Amino acid sequence: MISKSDAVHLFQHYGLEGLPARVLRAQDVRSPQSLSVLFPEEARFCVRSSEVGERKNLPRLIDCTVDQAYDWIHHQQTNTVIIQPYDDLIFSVELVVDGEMVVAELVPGIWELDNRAAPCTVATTDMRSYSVDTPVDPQPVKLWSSSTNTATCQWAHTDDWQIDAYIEWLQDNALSLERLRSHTSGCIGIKLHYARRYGLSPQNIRTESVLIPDLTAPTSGAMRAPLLNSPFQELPAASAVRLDVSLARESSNTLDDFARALCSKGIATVYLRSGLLSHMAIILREQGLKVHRW
Amino acid sequence: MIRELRTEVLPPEDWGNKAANLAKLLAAGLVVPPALCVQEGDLTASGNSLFLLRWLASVREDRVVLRCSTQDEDTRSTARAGHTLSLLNVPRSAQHIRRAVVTEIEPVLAGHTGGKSCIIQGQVSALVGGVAFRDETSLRVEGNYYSTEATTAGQAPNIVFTEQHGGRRWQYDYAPGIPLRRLGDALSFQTALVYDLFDHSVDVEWAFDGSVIYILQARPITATLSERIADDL
Repeated sequence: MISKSDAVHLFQHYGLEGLPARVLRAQDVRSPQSLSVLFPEEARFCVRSSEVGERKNLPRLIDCTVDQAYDWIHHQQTNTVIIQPYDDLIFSVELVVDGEMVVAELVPGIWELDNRAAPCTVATTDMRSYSVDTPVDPQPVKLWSSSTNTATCQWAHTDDWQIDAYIEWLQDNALSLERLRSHTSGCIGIKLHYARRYGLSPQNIRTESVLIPDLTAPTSGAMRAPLLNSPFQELPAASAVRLDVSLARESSNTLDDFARALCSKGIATVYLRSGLLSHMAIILREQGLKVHRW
Repeated sequence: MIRELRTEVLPPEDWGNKAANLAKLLAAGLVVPPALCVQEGDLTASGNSLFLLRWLASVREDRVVLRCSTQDEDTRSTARAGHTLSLLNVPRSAQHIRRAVVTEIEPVLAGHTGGKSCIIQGQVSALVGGVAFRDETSLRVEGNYYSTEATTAGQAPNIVFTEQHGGRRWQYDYAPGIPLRRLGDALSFQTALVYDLFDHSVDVEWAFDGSVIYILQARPITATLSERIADDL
């Protein structure tokens, strides 16, 4: 498992860094000024915890002042933090690189466990021709508002310029990505944000439970599977279900329990709208479920 | 008789099915490049060449396309696609057009019975052009960059796009600045209108200039093509 801080160093080493990041030991943050000198032109920041053998959903603070960042760091029981300038997140990407095949899912706004948006999927094997799957209708997405310091839900498409931005980033960084993948010796998953000022910026690297998803188009059979809207819904007697479930970022334990319950009930296949590379899809596959799209 | 393509009906028994279909599309509000329909012998009759000059002055495109329109093609039972002549890249000059119509188009029309005409149409400068097959539940599109005829001429498409079950799938050779979603939205909407208009599965030739979809031709799909769409999807 690669920690967030190790990921930052790897991105910097392979020339993939977009939004700049600094990795600090919490004990070395002695004053707010020790943070502000890192990014003297910036007024707002994001701070993330990082640990060796990372737990899921480690604490973070989004869109804060340097004073708030300092206070937060010293209230957390974490040894290592990553500080970055705050920048508006326009769209999110989950990327899987497996040798020649590269698959990405794009979602407007923030992509977390509660995501319900069907993503735009972009796949390539040669960096010249691409397969793109998009939902026709706008999707429910989450956008951060720095004026209210909250996330708001809206309906949006993945725009053409976003697909172009991702493909051009992929083409420009193909060699670096391959070197990073070779360094980790296997299939890797990368989470990226497109930041307004800095463009596409990798954030995390996954090396466990990473695989190229099944991209075949949904079948009519998928639409006949019972639909679950909540992890607390009574489970049907069926071998397959469709999921339209949203969970708060902090509810990954609920997801683990839900996945185990699905298996115990004899459900073998799950159809998801919200991304085959999503955290939810990973957890479901880890429990042995087959995960497809609908 | 010479008729400018407008929103009036062009009876196929006078003008052929291609011209009749284009007039139908225009009357339904679809965007069709400006066109003039002429019948055999019309352009050599005195007085009519002046009309051609006046019409050409209103055409923005640098080139025109000349197409045969006959009554025994583009029907529900038989497409006969490619069985009549289309001439592309004809210079926008009355002299060139008249010569091409007289020497190449009219001899082909002479071999057909029933309603027939020559369509003189502004040639769209396309960012992407191609063909769309639309039936009740699905859409399949093939297109090529910077061409209106490459797909119909049999070149391997740069873009293939299918739509069904609320999703779209593209396979394409990446070229920056091709607005996939805008193209997909426009094609989906326009071909649905054509489908409703013909009340039948349709084969639509189209050109996209980056903003607007132009419908170049539309014809009912024969049974064989409908089955092929189902197999492909």
